[in-house]
Amino acid sequence: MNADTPTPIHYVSVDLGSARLVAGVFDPSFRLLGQAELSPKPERGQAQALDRVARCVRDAVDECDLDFGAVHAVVMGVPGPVDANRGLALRMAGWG
Amino acid sequence: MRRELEQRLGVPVTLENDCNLAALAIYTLELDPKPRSLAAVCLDRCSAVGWIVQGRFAPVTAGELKVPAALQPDPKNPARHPAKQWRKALQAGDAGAKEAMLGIAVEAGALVTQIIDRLHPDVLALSGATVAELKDWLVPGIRQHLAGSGPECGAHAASLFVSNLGKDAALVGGAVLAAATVRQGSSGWRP
Repeated sequence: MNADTPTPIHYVSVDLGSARLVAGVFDPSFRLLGQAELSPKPERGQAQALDRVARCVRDAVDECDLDFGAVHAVVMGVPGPVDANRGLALRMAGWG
Repeated sequence: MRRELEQRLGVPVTLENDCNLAALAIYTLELDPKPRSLAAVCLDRCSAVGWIVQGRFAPVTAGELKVPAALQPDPKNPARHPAKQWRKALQAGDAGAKEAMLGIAVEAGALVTQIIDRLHPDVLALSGATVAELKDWLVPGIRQHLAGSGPECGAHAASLFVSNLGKDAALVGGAVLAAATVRQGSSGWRP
């Protein structure tokens, strides 16, 4: 890409279930450009699960041959109620 | 959780319920005109329903929702999505699967009726991998269940919509929410 060309905005969406962890990269038209998938392994605890989420996000971006700087926001969907203001999952089905 | 993920990634992160995200994708990309209220039912997700009222996520007050157990993925074997197994058996003409699916459709119909009864949505959308795989068998059973419910349920007033976003509905909804967050500084979807 030409250095003068502004990097287009991209978004990453993560779907975190107890059985499936998927990260998808989207362009501003909400076209899915590529995705990565890992098993979430909830039995390993939250810290390791978040490490896996981060890895999955980076893998998805890499899969699309994008620089991570093109990602302007990440949204993570979780299987349960959330406190969106505090950024907390209050209860996650299948996560003990 | 959000803060820890932001530290790992170095970009703003928003957390949202997965079925709300599916509802958001359907509301934004598939429905025009926009309904005043939308309940998106995800038959293969434990949280089961996403709920949008007047362009905002709203808390679900539908009581305990019983999603048909036969449609839930096995956490120990996530690659084997039950809906795919059901579809293969049904397409192969398996009589046992056909009979079982009638019962599952009744369970799904009861769930949909419960949600309509409690939330009174203008539109009830069916979404997710299960609906994508099994709509030919499930949706007629659900419609039949709704048609048989009493007028006090309000099922006749709700419009049933079958989403074409399939298993990616929640993922697409996350992208829609991310775009809103970047555009407005906050998602704007929470009251």
